[in-house]
Amino acid sequence: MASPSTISSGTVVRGRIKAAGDLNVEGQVHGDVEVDGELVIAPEALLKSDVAGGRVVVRGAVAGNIRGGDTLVLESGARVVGDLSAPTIGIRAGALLRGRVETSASGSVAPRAKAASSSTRLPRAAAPKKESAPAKRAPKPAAKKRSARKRSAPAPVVPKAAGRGKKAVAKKKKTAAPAPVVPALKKRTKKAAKRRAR
Amino acid sequence: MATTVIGPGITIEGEVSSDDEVLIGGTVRGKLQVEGPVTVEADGTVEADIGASSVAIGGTVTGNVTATERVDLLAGGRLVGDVQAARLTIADGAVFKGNVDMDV
Repeated sequence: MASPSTISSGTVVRGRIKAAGDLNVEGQVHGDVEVDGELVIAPEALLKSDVAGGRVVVRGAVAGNIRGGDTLVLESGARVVGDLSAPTIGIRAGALLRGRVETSASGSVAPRAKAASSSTRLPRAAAPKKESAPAKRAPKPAAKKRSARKRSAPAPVVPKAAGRGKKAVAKKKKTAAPAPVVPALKKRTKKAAKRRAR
Repeated sequence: MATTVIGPGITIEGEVSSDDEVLIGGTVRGKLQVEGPVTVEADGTVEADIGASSVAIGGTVTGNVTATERVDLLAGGRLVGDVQAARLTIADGAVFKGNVDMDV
């Protein structure tokens, strides 16, 4: 093949792309992309679709889940809203990500329903750590980062707090009527448990 | 200008629209709307209506072809569909079934 398959910057594809070889995307794709070989998503590219490739390199914007059969790398400048899954995942400083990260041998995307379980929250909390490396960034990404941290930071705490709270809630039911709001309930029971411990 | 290359082994099902040149060595099903020239290579298969400035067909095209400038059906090319263009060339050895409208 003379030149590698390319969806150039002026090209928009609405539909499904299946490739047996390598593919460079510099334009827009609205639909699923499935590549057996290497898939490179250029800085100016925009993909509003789920993406699967043997080796995936992202430098542009992707709104959708990305699955890598071998490796998945988010280079600096990548903007991804969606879940990542591959045996090997790399996130370079300067890449923006909002979604779940899963490094699994199979490289298969776990069903969305599992996202709610406590075990899958761990990788999500780990993602912003890598993201925080570029301290000198434009205000826009910084604001995104903050919001990402806000959401992700308390996530791992919630299941623990709920677990501890259960016993305290049972005790408290006898003494006072608990507030109907769940987060408030957790705070109070935590404090109450501490007071009782003294 | 960059060129969009849909190489062998690539299948696109859906609509492709482009401001650039498009080279097809793979398969496109759906619709192809291009501002620049379209070339369907010997291995290329297009099952779609094509709209472009010029179209060169060396592969297989099933669908209507509309070009603002010209359509070239190359030797070994195969076209089943209507052609609407100012100029049309059909090379010796090409296969063509369809109507031609040259805006006379």
